[in-house]
Amino acid sequence: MKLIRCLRRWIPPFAAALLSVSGFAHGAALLPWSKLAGARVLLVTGETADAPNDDALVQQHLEALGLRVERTGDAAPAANLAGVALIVISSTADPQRLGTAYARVPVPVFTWNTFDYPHLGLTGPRLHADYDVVEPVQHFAASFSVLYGYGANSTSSLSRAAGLKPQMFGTLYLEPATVGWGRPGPGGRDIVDFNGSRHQSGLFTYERDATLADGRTAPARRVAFYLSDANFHLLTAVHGPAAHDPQLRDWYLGLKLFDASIRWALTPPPPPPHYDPAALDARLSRAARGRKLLFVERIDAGEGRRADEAIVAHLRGLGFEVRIADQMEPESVAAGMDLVIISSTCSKYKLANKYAGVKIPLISLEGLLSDTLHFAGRDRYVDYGEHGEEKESEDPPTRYLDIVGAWSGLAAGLPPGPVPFTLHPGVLKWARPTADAIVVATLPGAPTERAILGYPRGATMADGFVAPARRGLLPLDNPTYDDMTDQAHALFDAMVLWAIGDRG
Amino acid sequence: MISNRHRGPVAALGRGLLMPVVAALIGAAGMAAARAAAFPLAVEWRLPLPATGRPSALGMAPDGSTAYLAQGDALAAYATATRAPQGLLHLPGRIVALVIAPAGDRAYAALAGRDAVAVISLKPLALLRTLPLPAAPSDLTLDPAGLTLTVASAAAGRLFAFDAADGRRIAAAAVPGRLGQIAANGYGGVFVAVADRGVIAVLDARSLRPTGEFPLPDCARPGGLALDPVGRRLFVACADGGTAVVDTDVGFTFERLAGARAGDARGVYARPTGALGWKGAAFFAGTGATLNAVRMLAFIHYVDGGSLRLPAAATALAYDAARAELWITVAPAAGDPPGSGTLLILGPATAAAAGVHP
Repeated sequence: MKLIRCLRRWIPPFAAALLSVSGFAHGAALLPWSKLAGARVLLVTGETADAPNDDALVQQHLEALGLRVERTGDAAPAANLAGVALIVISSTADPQRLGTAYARVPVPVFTWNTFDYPHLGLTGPRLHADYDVVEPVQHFAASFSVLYGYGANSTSSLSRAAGLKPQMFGTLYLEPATVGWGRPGPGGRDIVDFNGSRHQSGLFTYERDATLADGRTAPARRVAFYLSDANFHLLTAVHGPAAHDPQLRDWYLGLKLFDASIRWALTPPPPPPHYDPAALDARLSRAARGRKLLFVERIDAGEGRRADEAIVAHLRGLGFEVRIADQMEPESVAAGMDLVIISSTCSKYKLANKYAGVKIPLISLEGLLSDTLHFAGRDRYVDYGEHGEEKESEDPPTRYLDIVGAWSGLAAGLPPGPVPFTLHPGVLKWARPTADAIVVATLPGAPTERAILGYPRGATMADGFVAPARRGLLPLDNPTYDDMTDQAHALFDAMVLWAIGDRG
Repeated sequence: MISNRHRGPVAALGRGLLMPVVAALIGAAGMAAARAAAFPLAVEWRLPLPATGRPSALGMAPDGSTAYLAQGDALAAYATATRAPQGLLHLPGRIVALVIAPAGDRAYAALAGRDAVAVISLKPLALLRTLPLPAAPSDLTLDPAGLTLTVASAAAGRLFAFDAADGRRIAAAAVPGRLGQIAANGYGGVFVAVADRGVIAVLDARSLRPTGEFPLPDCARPGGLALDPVGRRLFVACADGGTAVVDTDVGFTFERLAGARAGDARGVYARPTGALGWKGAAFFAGTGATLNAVRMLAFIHYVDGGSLRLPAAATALAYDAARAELWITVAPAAGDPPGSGTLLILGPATAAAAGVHP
């Protein structure tokens, strides 16, 4: 703990310099290698004299990228991390020796030590369920299937840097492979998965302050990668004539993913947002000025009418030019608008599939529209659902949400953990989005039931639908707006601000 | 077909009586297998060559009937079945490389002294014409269909392409770096090892337009090449020892096998389909005076196949698929007359000797 306190006080001079020089704090792109040159990397390895490993190749590769690599054994972890910009943990390190040595250090960690994932809080503790290692002796057929990965997330800065697309690609060269996978926690981002299952994520990340599988938050960026002891040299790459073919470049991505993951881990994250509702309101007012907003509701709705009026009043007060449309009006009313907000008073049955394809940002306040709007799959109460609705949920009414993506601006600066969303327990909706979503909040005790989320433009939503513009989900039941806490109002404003920040 | 299965003194004597060549010196001194237990070939013939020039190139007729040996400006034909000389042709220059057309009717010889390529009829053995070059050639290759002849000039750092049908020069290109062996595949690509840059340069065979490079991590000064046209694997001899195995479809080195230093080597690919107890093999030999093998276990799995010490630096090699025999010429060993050399013919080692388990 003493070490951790010490490290918390210490701002890596390397990272601080980068922040001040590059102004990166406000950008999402990864730092180029030229700005990462000289960064100190601690490579944690084990003793594998009796078996081949690629640790030396990894070190050589990282050094070729301009990084300064120091090797340390698993027996003496975390001796001195001052000045270390990245900890890289090889699967050759003994996970039992490592224990939780690097779990709480506020230094980015990049690991392919699958059995160490639970110690780091990257996954739960159950082998075969929360994490697993596929290898040719025990799982011969599976060791071939993991040669094929899927680009589950194509919109994160890491994915973009690697050129990852929502399609299959070759993970390792064509030999039966040993790989690790994990099931990320609520704040994790599944980047690459195996076997069509996002629960078998080969590459997943946690942003700083994202909620880990063990309920803690990531003290710095975390990356889990699918490698094993001796297959770094088999990470796919393409050279020669085939490298001119974009389809083949998109297929042989393994080494690019590795490099992009290292870059992402080394890139200082944006500064965490601060909870300041007044400042947020002011920013939103500035952004709203002159913007046209379509508010779709059930005009003259019974329950929820007052809430709709309050929402519209708030939006107009911010400076939006709001046009109200009834749920039965055609989608063409969205022409010329900057943002569509769909009220939870709308009937899913009457609204049909409208607005799903509008090319402007859209916010749905109704979780039950998750399938028609492609936020989630089509299995009601499995892919999306609600808490607190009699006859429609086994879950009791609730007034809390669990913030799991505190790093995101969508979280309005609220701290990780439970926040009161309504003044009184009531109905709250949830959905299980694809891996391309930014997940900000879940329902309490249900980490896979996501309540607040957003899809960036170009994200692959459910059914393979590609988001033509930002898409946000906020779980308001009909009268909920009137019962929201200050924190919930901040989350509402943060969602609106994020949505109209889509500049294409 | 010669039986190569017994290599004891009695068998050697028997073959010596039967064959017209005197030098059936099986198991010659200084050729102990460095890793005899695994090596698939053993020397079964050793033929001292006359002091008419350094042996520089070997070629094998596609049907395995005839082997061609270049020494100085002379090209000698040997019947592979009897090892008997069949003909001799003097060319207007020192031969540095030789390639046989897939149809077996022609050969092309790179002539260093004349800066030219000789086009040779093989039946009968005769010079048809010479194709002039603006620089001294160092190597040449034909694509498997025999349509395009590619000639390398290490001295000039250039490649030249000829239409094999009419001898027309159709392209030339500069390739920066110290060029080693070249090889061509059956779908329009030609590969050349670039030793000082540690890459394989890839060019379009007809236009010689550069189409990319294959990096060779951890392979110092690549020189010799052996191409498996079916598996699309390129085996590259590394001067620091061992072999890189490259998937030529994607330019990816997926195996980096340890092995003895072959020196400045040349390579040849063999598909013995079981004759050696192996599925496939690549052989390299050069200034390092060792014959190194790569053994194919599967198209995605190759291992070091061991090495065999040679009496002197190897200068050329060719594989006779019909007999699963490897022909190698070596430079004069200590005590040999200058300008001579030795022809070695290696055949399958016995399964027991090779440590092969059927």
